[in-house]
Amino acid sequence: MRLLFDTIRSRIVAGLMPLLIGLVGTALLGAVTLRQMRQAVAEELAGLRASSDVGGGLVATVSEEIRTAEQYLAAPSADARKLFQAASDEASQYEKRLEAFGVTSEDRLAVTRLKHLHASIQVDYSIAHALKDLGRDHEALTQLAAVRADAAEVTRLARDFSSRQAAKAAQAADRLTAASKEREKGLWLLLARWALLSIQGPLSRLVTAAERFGGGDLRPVTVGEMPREFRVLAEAMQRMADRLRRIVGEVVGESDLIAGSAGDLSATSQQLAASSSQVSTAMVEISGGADHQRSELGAMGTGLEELRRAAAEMAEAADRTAQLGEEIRTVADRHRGDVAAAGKALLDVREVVQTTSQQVGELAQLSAAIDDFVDLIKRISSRPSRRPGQVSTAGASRSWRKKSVSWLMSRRAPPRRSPARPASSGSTWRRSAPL
Amino acid sequence: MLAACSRPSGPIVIGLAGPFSQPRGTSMLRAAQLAVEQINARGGVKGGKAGGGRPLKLKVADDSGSENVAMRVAEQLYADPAVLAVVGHLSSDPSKAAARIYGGGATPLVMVSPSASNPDLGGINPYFFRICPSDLQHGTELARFAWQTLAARRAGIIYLNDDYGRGVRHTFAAAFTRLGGVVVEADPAVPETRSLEPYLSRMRQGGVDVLMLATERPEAELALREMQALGLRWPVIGGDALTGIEADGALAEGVYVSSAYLADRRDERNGAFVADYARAYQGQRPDHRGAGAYDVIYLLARVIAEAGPDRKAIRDNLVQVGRGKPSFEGVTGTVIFDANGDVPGKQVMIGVIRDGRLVTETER
Repeated sequence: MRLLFDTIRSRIVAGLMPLLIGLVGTALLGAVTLRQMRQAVAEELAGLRASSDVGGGLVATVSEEIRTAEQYLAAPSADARKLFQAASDEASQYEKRLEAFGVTSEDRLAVTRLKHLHASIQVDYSIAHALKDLGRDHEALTQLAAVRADAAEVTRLARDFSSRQAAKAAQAADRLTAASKEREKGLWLLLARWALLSIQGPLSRLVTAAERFGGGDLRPVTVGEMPREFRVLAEAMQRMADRLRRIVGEVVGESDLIAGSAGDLSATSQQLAASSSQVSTAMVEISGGADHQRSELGAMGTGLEELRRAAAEMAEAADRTAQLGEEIRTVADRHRGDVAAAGKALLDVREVVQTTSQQVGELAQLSAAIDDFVDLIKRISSRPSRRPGQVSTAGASRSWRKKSVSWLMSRRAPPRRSPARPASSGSTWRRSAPL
Repeated sequence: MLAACSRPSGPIVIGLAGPFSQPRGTSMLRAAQLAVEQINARGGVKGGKAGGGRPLKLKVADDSGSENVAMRVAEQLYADPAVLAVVGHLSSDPSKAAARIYGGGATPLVMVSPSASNPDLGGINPYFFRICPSDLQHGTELARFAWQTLAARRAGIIYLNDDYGRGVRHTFAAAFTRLGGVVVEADPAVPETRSLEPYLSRMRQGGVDVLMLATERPEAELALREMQALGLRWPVIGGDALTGIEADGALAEGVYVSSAYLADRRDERNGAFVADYARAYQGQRPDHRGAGAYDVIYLLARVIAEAGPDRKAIRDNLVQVGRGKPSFEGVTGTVIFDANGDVPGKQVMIGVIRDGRLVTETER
């Protein structure tokens, strides 16, 4: 079924089918509309038709009335008089019916005029009849001459009124026909519009879809039912849109990847920047620490030099003490009397030892300064991302400290240079403690 | 309080349509004006939906007793939105012509006729009312009076060749024939008729016991003058359209007239009305047209007070008078409308002209 109406041509041809169907529909719709219109004008038509009939009846009865009136004048009789009276009453009934139709004001004025004139001729004929009955024929003829003009006028008025009502009925019928044609024309226009829309609609939808693509909106478009030519075009557009969507999807994917990498790079750069900043800070600190270290090392060198000199002096004093002790022991051995002198000499030694002890305290202070320096180096070395140089500096510091302590401990230890001395020196030390 | 402030306070306008340029319309105009003056002197239309006392105002329109003029008058009154109802028209033909205008369109207008008696008017449209009996009652009562009281057996009829005259003629002839009488002849006349003498002469030849004048006052006066000239002394009877002919003095002496209202009606309310009327208009007496108009004004004032100043509401209220709402007691009697806007309960009385006055005829 769909294939039958798949092309524009087939649709146009098919459009004729609805037109044919439309004719049937027109008949049905026309029947409905005509029914409505009939209802609308039925009363008017009925009124006009009835008034036309009544007008015709009035013309007939007035003519009959005039005929019987004339007949009575020609040959008076009870029957003719009754016929005249009956025609007069019938004409009056027609006039009442005309009034009851509720015709227009113009019609009412015409009916009123007709009624009055008709009433007048009835009276004139009646008086003429009375005169005739009274044997006053001349007066009757005079009365009759006056009434005949009015009778002709009444007949003319009645005929005019009847003709006017008939014309109005015909006009109403023409109006009904014209209205029916208008409706039919409207229906044809509707069908033509339907055929036009069956082409214009798909085109409009395609244009809308193309504008959407042009605007960058590549979402799938539902164009609905349309002729095959348009459907082919729509499918081509859909394929183009699919390809565009795929390409755009790929581009978007790559862009996402690049964007991801860029993000990583950005993060790394940020980290590098942060690290550089930290390194810079550390370098500054290291630089400051190195300066401080250098000055401390200088001070420590000085101290060490002093310590070395003091140690050398102490060693020299110890050597001298040892020599003195040897000499004292020798002298004591030899000269007991010289013990006092030796005691004095021991007092000197004690003073030397006190001096040495003081120097050792100063050395301990120097060692504390070294410890501070070592702590500083440790703090620097405990920071993240240390540069290799920094690590080596801390290691060097620790190594130097170890060597320094080792050296100091070795300097505090009893002298080992003369293996023969330990007994005397040890005794010296043991004796010296109570002193 | 807001609603009270928003209520209109202007006069309530009622149309008054009739042949006021003619003698037959005089009583109607005077009585209507008297009623309005009395109502306004008591504070106007008040109570119910009408608000607190709004004066009544008449919009008077002369239809000259002509159908064409009556239609124009009706169109003018209909088009005026201030007009809530119409008192009129006086006679049958103008009333028929105007009724189609008042009863049509988007805002139909109630008309209440005091004296239009043609049977065809009954139910002509939902907005037509009248407070007078129809010609069916007049013709029947006149036939009964002629047959029973006057002992007439042969009647001659001169009728006005319009709806009113034909209606009275038909009902009289039917009733009289039904009673056993004979209508010798029925002859038409129009206002332009110059002489009825041929009819009267022929009736004299045919022999009649009573002359029925189903005409207006001018045609009746013509007939009476010609009867007088011809020396005819038939009892003359006629419908309420002859009312006022008593002013002709001796010419109209002894004429019997059917009417739904006679000024000497024994009723306290009517007595006050007649006295007020005489006081207001130099001792004049109201006729059935004036009494009817007087009652219609009071009736409309009551209805507007209940229903409010709305055309449709007035009609809806009016149709219930005597049928769901209290009947109206007026100077012409009790008003109870039927579905056609008629007052079938109203009785027709026979009056006679004695000494230049129309008085109630005592049954012999």
